[in-house]
Amino acid sequence: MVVLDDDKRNHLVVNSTAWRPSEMQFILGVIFFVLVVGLVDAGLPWPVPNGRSR
Amino acid sequence: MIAGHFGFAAAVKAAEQETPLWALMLATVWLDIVFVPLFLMGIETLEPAAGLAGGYGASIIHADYTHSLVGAVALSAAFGAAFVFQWGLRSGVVLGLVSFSHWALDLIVHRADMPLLPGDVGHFPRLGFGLWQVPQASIVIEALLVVAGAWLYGRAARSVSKAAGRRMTRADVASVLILIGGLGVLVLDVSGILG
Repeated sequence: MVVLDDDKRNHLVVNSTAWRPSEMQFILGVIFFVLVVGLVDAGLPWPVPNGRSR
Repeated sequence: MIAGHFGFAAAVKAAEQETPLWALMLATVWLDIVFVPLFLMGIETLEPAAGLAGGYGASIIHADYTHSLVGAVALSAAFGAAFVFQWGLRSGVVLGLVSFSHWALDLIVHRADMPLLPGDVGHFPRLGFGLWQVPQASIVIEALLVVAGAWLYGRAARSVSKAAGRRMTRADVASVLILIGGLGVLVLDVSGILG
């Protein structure tokens, strides 16, 4: 989040611990691709690594 | 870059079919996953690039541990090693390399903000080719990675389905999800509408 520094009204500073839009895209992307797409993919007849279970 | 990493992982699945896709997807963003808690603790930070207000590709990212060259190698090696016992050496190496591919792809787009050593020890010149300075170009590259990844994955998924005498439905659904999901994440990333 970009905020105005109280001491320097014209100077942009960053609150490095604030939530940023890119984090939301990232979290949604990870959940979607790892869990949703990963789950759909797991049902396909791919070869199994070393003959071991997944 | 977010969507491009997922597209790359999907393309790898087409070639390394024994490695589960979910693990490849996790590997491709492993450095960023480690980045998040460090970011929330204020150890790694972001700031808008000079003259910009932040947004897609408009930040200087001080990920001096997770996105340093040596840090990325160490995190990727640890990620791959964690899967060797379960899935064997080949899958472990593949997952480690996919994890490191994150650093390699980031190198193309980042402004010169990626240090060689963790914590920027030694203050060596930072790395980054800065394609984000031409956001249209980086958007096109991300979109191409997603489209190529979805296509290559879909082709391989249909092939194994056909070989096993299965219907193509699941293969098609998975590849369409990769395409739509990837492009959707890219649109969200570029537009910042969730913010």
